[in-house]
Amino acid sequence: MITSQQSHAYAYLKTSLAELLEKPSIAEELTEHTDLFSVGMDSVTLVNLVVLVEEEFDIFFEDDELLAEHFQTIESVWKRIESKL
Amino acid sequence: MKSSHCFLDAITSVVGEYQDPRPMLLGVWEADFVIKEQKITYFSDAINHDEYLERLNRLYGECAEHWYDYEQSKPNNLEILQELLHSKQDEEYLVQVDLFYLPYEIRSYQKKHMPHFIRLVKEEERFLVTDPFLDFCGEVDEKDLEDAFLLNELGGGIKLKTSNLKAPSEDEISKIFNSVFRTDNRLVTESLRVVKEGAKDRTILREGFLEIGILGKRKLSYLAAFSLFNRRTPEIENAIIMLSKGWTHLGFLAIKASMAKMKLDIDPLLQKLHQLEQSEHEIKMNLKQSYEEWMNHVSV
Repeated sequence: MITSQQSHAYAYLKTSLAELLEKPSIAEELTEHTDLFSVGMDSVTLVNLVVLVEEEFDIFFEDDELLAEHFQTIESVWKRIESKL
Repeated sequence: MKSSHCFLDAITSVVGEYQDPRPMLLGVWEADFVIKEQKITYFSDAINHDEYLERLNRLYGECAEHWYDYEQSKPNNLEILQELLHSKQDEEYLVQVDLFYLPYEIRSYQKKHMPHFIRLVKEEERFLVTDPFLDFCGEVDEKDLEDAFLLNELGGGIKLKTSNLKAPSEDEISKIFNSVFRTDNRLVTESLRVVKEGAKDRTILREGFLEIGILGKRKLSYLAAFSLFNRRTPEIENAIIMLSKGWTHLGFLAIKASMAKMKLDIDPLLQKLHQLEQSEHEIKMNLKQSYEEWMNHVSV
């Protein structure tokens, strides 16, 4: 079952990615399992997303957590967020 | 084989259909790069692939040469390419294109100019691209290909006569290994310099390391070397993959440190570089030992 916090995170991540990628329509197309690198996420987008998430959820990612596989899908990003809430 | 270098991945994908391609990847972990306005970049008109072309001919017999004529204009070279593709000989053609114009690579399409090698064939009126580095194989629109070729900042192309490919000798492999093996680490040295410059101007950190992930992928070529010298264990494989990912990680840390809202702290970058240097040194020493054991075995 998806919690309201998880639902908020998914919506926030989709909107943020659409803005960072400058593709407004992509928010509708993203699922929690979409490979974010396959829709155009690069290293700059990833780091910008990390910083946005840190601000939105008032959390901090350690340097050694900044790995591509942790931010490959919306679900994997959520798992990182959830572990810090 | 894991992709490590677009030109060599295209070459080894052709060679691998006929002979053992692994010797082509020796030393690719240290493939050339330049520093352009504090940016570490894998492409420049100062970098060419003649060393690898020469190696191809040494290892596999006279089989490869440039089809691209650097004295000619891009449109003239396009004509040369079209004639070659039409002739359908026992040859394979590698072409340098700019990924900015090719939709199959979504991260650079209409965003970043990236010179890149692909294999190209023409079947009837369709242009088929094999791109081992990006794991793509399929039809590409002719107009996109023309743009990617004509508007590429650099240029280049190789042809391989596949019927000439012979098995490489152990003696030649040994000579090549000894000529490419070095114990220093230029990528670490230059990265340290860029990080120290970045401490004075943080924008250097962002621009300086934008291509570091591509250079980090080259470290995956150690996998082929260990495999060639019969010592590719899961532990070694893991160490090499971690080394390659470590360079991508450094790039992420540099981008984060470059952001105006973050406190500028280069210590994590210096620590990461120290760690990368140590890890690669261990891999190199292990490889050297593997090579020596392989030599003892083959010379018995």
